[in-house]
Amino acid sequence: MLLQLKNISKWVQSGGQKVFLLKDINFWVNEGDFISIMGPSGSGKSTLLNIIGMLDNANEGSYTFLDESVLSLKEKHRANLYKQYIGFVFQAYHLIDELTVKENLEMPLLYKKYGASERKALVADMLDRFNIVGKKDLFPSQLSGGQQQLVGVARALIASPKLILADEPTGNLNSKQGEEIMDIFTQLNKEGVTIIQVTHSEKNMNYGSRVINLLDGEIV
Amino acid sequence: MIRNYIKIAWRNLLKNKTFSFINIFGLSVGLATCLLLTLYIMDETSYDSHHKDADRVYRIVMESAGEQLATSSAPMAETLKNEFPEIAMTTRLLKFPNVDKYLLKNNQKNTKFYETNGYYVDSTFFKILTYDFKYGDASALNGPNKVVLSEKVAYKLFGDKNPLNEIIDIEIPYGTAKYTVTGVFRDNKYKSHIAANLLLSMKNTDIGEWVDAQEGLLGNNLFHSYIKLKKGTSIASVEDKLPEFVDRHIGDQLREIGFERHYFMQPLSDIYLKSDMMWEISANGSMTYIYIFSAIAAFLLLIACINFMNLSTARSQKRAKEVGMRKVLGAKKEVLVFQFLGESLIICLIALAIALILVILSLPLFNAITNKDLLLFHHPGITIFIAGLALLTGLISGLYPAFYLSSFKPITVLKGTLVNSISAKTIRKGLVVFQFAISASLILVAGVIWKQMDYLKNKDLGFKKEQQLLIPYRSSTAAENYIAFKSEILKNPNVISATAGDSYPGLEVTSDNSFYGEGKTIEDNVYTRYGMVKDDYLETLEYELLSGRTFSKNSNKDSLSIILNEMAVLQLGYKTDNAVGRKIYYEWNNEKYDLEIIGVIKDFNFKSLHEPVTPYGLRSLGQNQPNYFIATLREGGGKNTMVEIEKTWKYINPDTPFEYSFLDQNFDNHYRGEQQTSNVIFCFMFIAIFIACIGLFGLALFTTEQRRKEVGIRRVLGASIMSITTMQLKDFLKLVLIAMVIASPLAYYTGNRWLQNFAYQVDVGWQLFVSAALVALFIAFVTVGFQVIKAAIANPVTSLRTE
Repeated sequence: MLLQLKNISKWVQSGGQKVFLLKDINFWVNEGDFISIMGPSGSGKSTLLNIIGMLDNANEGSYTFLDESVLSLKEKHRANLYKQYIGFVFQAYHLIDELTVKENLEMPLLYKKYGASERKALVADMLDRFNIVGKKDLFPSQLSGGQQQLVGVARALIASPKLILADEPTGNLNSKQGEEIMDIFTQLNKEGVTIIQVTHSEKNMNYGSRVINLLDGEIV
Repeated sequence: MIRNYIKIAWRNLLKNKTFSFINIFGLSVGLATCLLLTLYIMDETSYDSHHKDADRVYRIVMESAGEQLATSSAPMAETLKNEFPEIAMTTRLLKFPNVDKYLLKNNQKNTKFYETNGYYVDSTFFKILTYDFKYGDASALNGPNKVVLSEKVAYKLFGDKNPLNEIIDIEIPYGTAKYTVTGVFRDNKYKSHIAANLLLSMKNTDIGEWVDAQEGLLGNNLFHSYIKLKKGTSIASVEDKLPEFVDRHIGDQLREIGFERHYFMQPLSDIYLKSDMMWEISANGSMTYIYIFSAIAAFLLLIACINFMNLSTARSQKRAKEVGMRKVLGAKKEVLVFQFLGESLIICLIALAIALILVILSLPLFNAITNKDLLLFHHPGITIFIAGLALLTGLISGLYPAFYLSSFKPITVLKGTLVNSISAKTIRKGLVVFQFAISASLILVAGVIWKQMDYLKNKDLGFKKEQQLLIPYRSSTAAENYIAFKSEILKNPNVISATAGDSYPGLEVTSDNSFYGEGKTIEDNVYTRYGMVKDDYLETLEYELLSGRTFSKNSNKDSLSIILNEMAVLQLGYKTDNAVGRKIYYEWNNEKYDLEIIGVIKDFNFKSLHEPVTPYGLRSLGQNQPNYFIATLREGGGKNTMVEIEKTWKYINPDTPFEYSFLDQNFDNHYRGEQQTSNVIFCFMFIAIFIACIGLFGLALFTTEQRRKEVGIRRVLGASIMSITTMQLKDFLKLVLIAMVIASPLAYYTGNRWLQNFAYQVDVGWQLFVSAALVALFIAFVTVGFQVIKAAIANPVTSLRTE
């Protein structure tokens, strides 16, 4: 088992009342799963993904990731944990505008203190694998949306994470570009990478092996 | 439409309170300081502009034996007038040597007090120089023993009553005389290089005889001589004939004593700001400072304008949508330019209103620092200036943002993909560098000034200036009691030593002569100044005697002796160890006289450190009267010492008031001008740094907000708070460092230019530049640090939320 959520709740105080964003969420993820989280706007999909990615904290419940109790970890340990095992893919790509494709790919490695030659090899690897060698010196604004997301996925993968969290990865792309990204995910999943994606689209959902439906913060 | 613009401008101001505050407050401070400095400059440049026909009035000055003198001899003015048909009228002013205070007595009201700045002038004085008479008129000094008072002095003597034809006693050390008051002038309206409190007839019963006895154009150059040209004549024709005139009258005498001398005609309007000679009537202003202050005023305003430009363009994204919409709805570019320019003008007007309040509030303080009595609306021109300044500021700060904002293309803007273009970012960074370069230069220049002032105060001058009490002799009876007072005061255990002299170190030296050594002729003369002193003078002031002896207690014995400094001995052709016992010679009226060198003292600064050490000597006063009593007090002697000394003085000199000062304070007065200027520069340096800092703060606020997304991504990808903070700080500090590199040579040059005013200068040194760089970095760090750390700590989830 890769991770397990037990009785996870998150709320915000609004006018003296608790407004639940997530309520009593229970589920687990095995290594090699491809899970889709579905639900309408405001159902808590992104919040759940952020908690799984350790970017946000739950108010209640327990979260175990690789036998570590995440919620009781110190900030620094938690950061090390997700730095090592988790890769993120965003709907808006979130590439850094001032850096070239190559430099964007290199960034996670810098923060993980990889040596220069290793970084170079890994970046070259990724560029090769995603067929974007020719674009390596371009800035994000010079790429199409699909190409930018390709770079986004490559960046998430570069440090070989166990888990990829994707928040509507195809939301800003046309259908052809979307398919390409989803094909890549399927391929990765076959290679053993665990994937959790948040999505609106039924079509994308079908790429996954398991679906979690959320409505108003609860699993239905 | 205008209402719509104003509404939008106003709502924008309210919506972004921090930015509005930074903009308006920065501009207000910039405008306020600019106004203050303008008031100062206007005041300084207004000197002597009020005199009728000022362009035809000149002062005769000279360069004699390498010294510039503001004065000439008594008959000079009259002789010139007799020989030059161009000259319509002349007048003279005499600042009597060693008389710096006049005791005024109104016997009817039984008031008496000392007054400074009294000058003897010819009856033609008011016909050449214009005064604003409250009572009396320009003919006031026609006749002997008449006096014209300033309004202030007249009030002290007579109150509000018309004092015309009242008779007062005026006492100087050479006697008392009766003077009739024939005029009162207002002293606050016109500024003049002659800051007089009383103007007395040159024809009088106390020093009149002495003045009349002055003959020849060569010596006793103590008179300020002014000439007024006839209409339609040119000063050039007078100047052309001047060398021949000088040669004809005193050419032979000059050659005899080995002097080279040239006379010049100095325009009246040049005196206050451009003249810095020996024997000026009082310390003049300086053109250098006018330039420095103008530059500071302009720079401060520029820094504030740059803040405005930077923040407006940096925030352009927020206005971009509005620009796009307006363009889609049919607005032309010119209309938008007009709108944005209008907005900056509105902001400028608000800033101006605050600036005026700031000026009114800070004027008393500014006046105290600069020793002036400036008023905001004293000059009528200032209103126009203020209006012009506001308009100019609005245009300078508004033009670039207006054109930048109005050039957005509607489609890109409305799609929301506008990113600040690279060029706009570069310009913004360039402007920040420029701002900080100015601030850094000011820090550096202030540092140089501070170092030099510190050096001046602490340099070993070659004598002891601390704990030296000076008591001026205001009457000859007190001076006659020198020995009695000295022996009495030395009984006080807190008085270590005592002496007297005709002057003290730091005072302008009145006695001089040209000497030559044994086996030489007048051709090899050495121009030497000397002081006339009583016994114990060397001991009291702790001069270092290198060889020979000091003056003996027997005052008659040393009348033909002289003690010289090393410089004089060397130039006369002797050495320190062989000079004692040798003779030096001088000539007067073709007779040769000699003096014997009895001692050699180490070189010392007998004047301020503005001037280098020159040949100097000390001679014995013999039975003659000294002008100053000097005593060394024991350190930590307590307040009682002064009370006891005063008691002793009253006991021995019951009729002469007791006054005193301390040598170190008097010496520091030489640097008052510099001290004042450095105070002003320090003040404005802080203001400049302050304005630049709030600009930097605003920019940091903005850029960190812009980089929120980037910071979020980096955090998610595993960046630590530390690495993000240093990354952002590095960008800002880089700009500051570039600014330092630009500022350093600039400040080095300016600082050295200023140091040229002194004969003794500190070494500027690299440490100053390093510490200034550290200070600038520290200030920048504090300013942006908070913002940057705040941005780094923020939860990345919030900054990455897509919609």
